[in-house]
Amino acid sequence: MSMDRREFLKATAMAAATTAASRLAYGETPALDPSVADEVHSRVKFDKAPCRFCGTGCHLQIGVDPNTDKVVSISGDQRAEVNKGLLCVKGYHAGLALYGKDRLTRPMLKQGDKHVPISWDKAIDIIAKRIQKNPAGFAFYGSGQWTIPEGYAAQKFTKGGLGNNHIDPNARLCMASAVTGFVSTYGVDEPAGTYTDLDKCDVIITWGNNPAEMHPVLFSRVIDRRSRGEKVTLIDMGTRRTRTTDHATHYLQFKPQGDVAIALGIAHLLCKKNTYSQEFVDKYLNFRRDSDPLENPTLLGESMTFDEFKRAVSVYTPEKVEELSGVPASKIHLLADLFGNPDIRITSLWCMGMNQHTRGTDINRLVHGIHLLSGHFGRPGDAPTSLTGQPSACGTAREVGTLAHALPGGRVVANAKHREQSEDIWNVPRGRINPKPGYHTVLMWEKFSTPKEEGGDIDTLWVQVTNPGHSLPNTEKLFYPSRKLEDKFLIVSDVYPTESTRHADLILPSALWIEKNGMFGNSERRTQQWFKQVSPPGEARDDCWQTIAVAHRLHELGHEGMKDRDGRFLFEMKDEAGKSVPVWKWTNYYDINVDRALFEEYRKFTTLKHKNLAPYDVYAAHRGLRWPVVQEPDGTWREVQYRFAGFDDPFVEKGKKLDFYHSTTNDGRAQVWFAPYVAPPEVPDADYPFWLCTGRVLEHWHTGSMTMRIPQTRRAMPNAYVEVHPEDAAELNLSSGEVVIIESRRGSCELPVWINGRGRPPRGSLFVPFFDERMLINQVTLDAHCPISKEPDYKKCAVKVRKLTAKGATDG
Amino acid sequence: MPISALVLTMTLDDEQREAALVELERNPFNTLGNLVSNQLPLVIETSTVAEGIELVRDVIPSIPGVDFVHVISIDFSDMSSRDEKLQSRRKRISDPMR
Ligand code: SF4
Repeated sequence: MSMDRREFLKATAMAAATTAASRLAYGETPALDPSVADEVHSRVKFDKAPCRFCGTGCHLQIGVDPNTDKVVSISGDQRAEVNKGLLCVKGYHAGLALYGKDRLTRPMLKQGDKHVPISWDKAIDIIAKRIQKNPAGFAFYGSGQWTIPEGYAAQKFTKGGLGNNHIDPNARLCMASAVTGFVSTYGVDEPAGTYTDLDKCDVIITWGNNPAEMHPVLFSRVIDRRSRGEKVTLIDMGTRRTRTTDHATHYLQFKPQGDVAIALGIAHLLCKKNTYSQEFVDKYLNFRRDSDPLENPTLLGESMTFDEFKRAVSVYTPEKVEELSGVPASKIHLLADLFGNPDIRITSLWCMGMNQHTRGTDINRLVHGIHLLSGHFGRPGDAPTSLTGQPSACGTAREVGTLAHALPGGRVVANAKHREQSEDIWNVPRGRINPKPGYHTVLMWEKFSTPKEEGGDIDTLWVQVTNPGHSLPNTEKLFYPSRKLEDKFLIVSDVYPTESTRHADLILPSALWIEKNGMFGNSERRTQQWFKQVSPPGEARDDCWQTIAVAHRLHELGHEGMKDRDGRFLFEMKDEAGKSVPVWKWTNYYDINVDRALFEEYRKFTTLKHKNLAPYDVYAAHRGLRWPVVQEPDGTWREVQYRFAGFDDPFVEKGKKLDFYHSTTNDGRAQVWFAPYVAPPEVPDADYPFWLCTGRVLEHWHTGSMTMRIPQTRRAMPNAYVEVHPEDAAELNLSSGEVVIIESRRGSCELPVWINGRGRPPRGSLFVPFFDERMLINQVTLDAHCPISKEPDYKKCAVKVRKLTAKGATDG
Repeated sequence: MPISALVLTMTLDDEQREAALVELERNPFNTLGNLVSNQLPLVIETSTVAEGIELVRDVIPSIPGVDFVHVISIDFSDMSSRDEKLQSRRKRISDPMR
């Protein structure tokens, strides 16, 4: 077969589109025309990898030109069950994220006002010596974009090596409330259902969630079902209209914090109308509440009877809920009637709207509660499912447990048995792991930004794979003050310059995504693996190597924590012949597969909470597997789609329909929680009359450090903006494109106005996406957080809007 | 010149779908594949990135009869420059407070 290059590229594209069309239409994947397949593989080397961006976890096929060592093609992976060959605009441009002109390629040390290049050796030395001087003053701040082995190495280094628990991920800012919701309801973290529920349900309820933009490939399942003539009722509940609303059967607009009242109202009507599931109440549920929900809420609370629960929710009549939430009483009946109907299947979806919430744990518990109370749980299509924003918030932050209180595999530092188990797997001496939880994100940064003499006991902070100078709330309090304190040293590993690197004392250039081996865990418990496919630029190196190199330098400096029980280096690794490989030297790092070695060790942690993982090589052969993954008698590995359900989960006691085998009450039952409605900590008033909500947009991912370097996504959404209701705009005499100052009690930010934009906030409410580093909206947001999960509320604070009339001058 | 592979989910209404197909065929950037049930494979080849974005994001979804646009792949091996001249990332609208 012979064709010119453009014809070939077009034929390849058409073959991919036709295959995907077949899959969408009939659920079948026809074989690629063999002549096209041969041609493709003779020119470009393809391999799989999960997408670098969101928690959906689509799989890509990445084409690399071996002559240039560059990515030249990205396709949706037809064999991937998550995305069935589809991608969103971020995913299909993901390859270009590698090639921004300003990639960081050399370690840089701040000297005076400038960053000057230094050698890796010197950089590693500086970090090790600072830690050696004050190990207790060191903190590691990572993310849900750490690969599983990267997070595991950082976790082992900090808790198993330094005996210090000051490690927390940015995931604290996005899913900590989901974790506390799952743990206090089921005794174990992460959703019981999977994306398959979206293919099976009759009703989808989005709770302050906009999957049409934020998880677009998942959302397209709904569109496709409808286009095949299936009836799917979509109920969108939110504080502003979004692209998801455009597809909704019903849109219920609630006042900020009103979601708590809505959930309580549904629970009340289920009880009042006797439409709850008697079977669930009798066999599978206990009821709980916090004795002091305002001052001292806890993960375990205290038990209450079903009658007490009924009485507690009885004040949340539809009329009362209408008053608190703004949603008409008739719609609360509509929701309660849906939940009260056992013949339909209901999937609830949520993400940051419910998690970034000062009552984040409460609202998570309540939504689980109404699914359980109504029996909409444990059947395909019946599931309360939280989605994650980051590609490995589940796999790394939650499962590896890179949180200040956690140990791998669902363990916690406060539990002596868990510490011993971890010390045994790590082969470190008894007592190495500190029983006291470290600082959670907000506290860690507060301590770093506080002078030592005033109790700011963190003096060296290492950031990997995230951009806190941009993404922390209230950065005027949590980020910038440390930059003026002499003894505070900020290390940032990243791939591009960001607000964080600009203010860092030491910058380390990192390898990005397919420039290194990696593993992620997506929102549906799916663990995914990929191999390095291209070389990183300049001197950029893997984050995991950076951690191991610092650990080894500390070992050389005589830090006892970097030795195991037998006096060997904490990260000693051997090749197949049993010979030790000096992986702390960059030239030797890829002599063995470090990811495989770390993962095989980590895997031993995963059985305690029945989150069993398969061996590394099994993941290399699959497009991810959903844990628990168990070995069948024939030696194959089987994933589990429906946790706690007898028909699928092998850990459910034989003969049981449902079994919550990690129940906090040790009786196989889940907990249904009561929590009262509590008003938000800051509400609009005469001085600050508008609500402000922040969030994301389809084209950009988080702080935009990668997607703002991709010309396509940057052109599609070149800058941030503030969405304003047309009547508010008219009152303030604002027009689209005009620049305004958004100001809170904490700080201000200048943004162009967008009226009737993509999202449509109600009167008195504004929305600002946070991706744009030129318009740092987190100088405005509030650092108030959920008292249990410690997750800040980025979704509601009070602001005023002023018109910018000339540089430096304002009116209004 | 970027080449993108798309699948368009077309309406189940025959008349509107036919009109949409005619409209799509009229655009010289588009190469239409064979309709698979109501899913249309489509390859678009544009001379600039901006044109491609406009087509995928605005023009195609706004055609009556096109229910949804799925993006399948992009090939950018022919693009001479991967980073076009864009507005400075660092510039702020006015001086920050610090
Ligand atoms: S950004 Fe999310 S939805 Fe888009 S391709 Fe990547 S994983 Fe899929």
